[in-house]
Amino acid sequence: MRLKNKNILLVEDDLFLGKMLMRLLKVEGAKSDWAQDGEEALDKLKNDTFDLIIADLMMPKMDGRELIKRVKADEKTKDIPIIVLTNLISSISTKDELEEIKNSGISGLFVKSNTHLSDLVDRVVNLLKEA
Amino acid sequence: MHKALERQLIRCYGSLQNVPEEQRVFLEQVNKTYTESDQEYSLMERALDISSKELTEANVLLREEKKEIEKKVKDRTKELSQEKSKLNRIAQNMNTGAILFNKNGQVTFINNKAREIIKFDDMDDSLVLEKLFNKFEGFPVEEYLERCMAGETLKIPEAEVSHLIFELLFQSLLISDGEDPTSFGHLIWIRDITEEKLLDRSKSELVAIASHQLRTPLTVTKGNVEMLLDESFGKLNDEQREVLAQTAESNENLISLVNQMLDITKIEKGNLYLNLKAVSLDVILEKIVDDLSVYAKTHNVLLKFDKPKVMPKVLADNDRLYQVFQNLIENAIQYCHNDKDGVCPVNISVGLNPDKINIKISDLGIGIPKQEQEKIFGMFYRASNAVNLISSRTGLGLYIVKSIVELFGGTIRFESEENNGTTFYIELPVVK
Repeated sequence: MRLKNKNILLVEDDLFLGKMLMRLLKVEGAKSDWAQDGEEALDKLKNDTFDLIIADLMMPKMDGRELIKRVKADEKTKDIPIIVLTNLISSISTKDELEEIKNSGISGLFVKSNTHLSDLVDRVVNLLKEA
Repeated sequence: MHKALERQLIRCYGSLQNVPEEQRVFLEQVNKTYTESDQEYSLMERALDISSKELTEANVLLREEKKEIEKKVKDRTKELSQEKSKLNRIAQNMNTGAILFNKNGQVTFINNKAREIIKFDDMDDSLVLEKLFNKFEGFPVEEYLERCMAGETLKIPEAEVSHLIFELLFQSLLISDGEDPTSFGHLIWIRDITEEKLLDRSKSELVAIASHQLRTPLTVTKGNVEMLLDESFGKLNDEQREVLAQTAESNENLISLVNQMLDITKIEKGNLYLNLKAVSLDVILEKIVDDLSVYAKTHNVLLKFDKPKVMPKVLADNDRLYQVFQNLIENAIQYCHNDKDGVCPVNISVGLNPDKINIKISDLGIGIPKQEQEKIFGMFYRASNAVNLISSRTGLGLYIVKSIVELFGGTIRFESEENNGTTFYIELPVVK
C-alpha cells in the first residue's frame, strides 16, 4: 500500500488496460480516476486535484502530446508530474519525435509491454516522495 | 601407208613403185611418225572433246550451286534481319529502360522506356546524356558512367525522383576474345521499382503497426498475471501458481517476438534509434551476469565474467549493447545442454587492443552443425539441433545482434563444433 491516499489520474483509451492499471493502483492503496482521452482528462483535472498523471500518447479526440502541453501550460496543473506509458516509442517514432516527447516536461517514459509494473509503481512512489 | 605421205610420193614419183629403194627405210620411219602423230592427234581431239563436255556440265552445276548459295544467303539474311528486328522490338518495348553507349561514350541505342523515363522525345541522341543527368540530379550517374566505362559494374539501388523510385544498373558489355575480354560498349538499365518498394514499405509499416497494437493486450495480460502471482488478490495454491507462471512466460515470449519484429522493421528501414555515448562495457556485462544468474542456475550453468582491471569505454547505445550481450549470453545458457550432473560453464572474457575491445563468450553446449554455420546470422534461422531443445526462440536474435554490432562499427564472428560448444567473438571500437 505504497500509494495510500494518493490521487492519480489515469489517461488510457484501452478498456482492459485501463481496468488493469486501475486495479494495480488500487492494490497499492491509491485513490484514482480514469479518463479515456485527453479532453476527458482535462475535464477531470478541472474538477479534482491530482498528485500524478499516467497518460497514454495515442488516444482519440485529444492525444497525449496535446494533453501534456495543456497541463504544462496551465498554472494550476503545471506541477503535477506526468508519466507517459505508451506504445508509440521506438519503431514508428523518429529520433526527433522521441526527443520532443522527452523534452515536453514529463517525469517518466515507459514502453507498454516492456515495462515491469513494479518498475512503474516504483517510479510513481519515488516521484510522489520527492514532491 | 599414211594417206598424206602416199599422196606426196605419188606426186613426186608418179607411182609408189617408182620410189627409189634407198629411200624406203627412211620413208617407213616417216610413215611411222605420221601414223603415230595422227593417233596422238585423234586421242587429243577425243580428250578435248570430253573435257569441253565436262566443262559445260561443271558450268551448269556451278551455276546451280551459286543460285542455291545466293538463296541461302538471302534467306539467312532475311532470318537474321527478322531476328534483329524482333530483338530490337523487344529491346524497344521492354519495361526496363536501356541506354547503350559505345566505347567513346556516345549513345548508340535508347529504348522507349528509357525515353519515357528521362522524358526524351528528341531525335538527336547526343542530348540523351544531358537529359539523363538532369533527371537523376543529385545521384552519381555521371560518376558511375565514367567508372563503368573503366570496367566496373555499379548500381544505384534507390533513386527517388518526383514520387517514383528507380534502380539504375551500369554494366560494361564485354566480348571474350580468347583470354583478353574487350569492351564494346556500356549499358545503363533503368528500372522503375516504385511499386515493389511501396509494397515493401507498407509491409514494414503493417508489421510495425500490428506489433504496436499487440503491445496493449500483452501489457494487460502481463499486468494482470503479475498481480495474481504477487498474490494481490489472495493466496495461490501450487497448481494455480504454476499455471500463472506458464502464462507469464508465454506472454514474455510473445513480447520479445513483438520487440524483435519491431527491431527488424527499424533495422531494415535504417532508422534504428541509437543513443550513442561512451559506455562502460564492464558495468553492462556485470549487470547482465547478475540479471541472468537465477536463470543460469535453473539451467545448471555457471556464469563467469573475468572482469579486466582496466576497461576502456566503447561508443554505443547502452540499451542496445545490453540487448546484444543479453541475447548472446542467454543463448549460451540455453544451449548448454549437459546430460551429466556437473555444472556447465559459460565464460565471458575481455581482451584489449589499443583501439578495440574483444569480448569472448564461450559455452560447452550443443554447438552449431558445420553445414549450418554460415546461416546462423540469417533471419528466422534456427539450428536443427536447437529447434527441439527450446521451442520459444524466434530465430531473429542473432540477425538483430549482428545488425546492432555493425551499427556500432564492430564485428561479430564465432567458432563452433557440434556437441562441443560455441564461442562468439565480438569486437567493438574503443572511445579515444
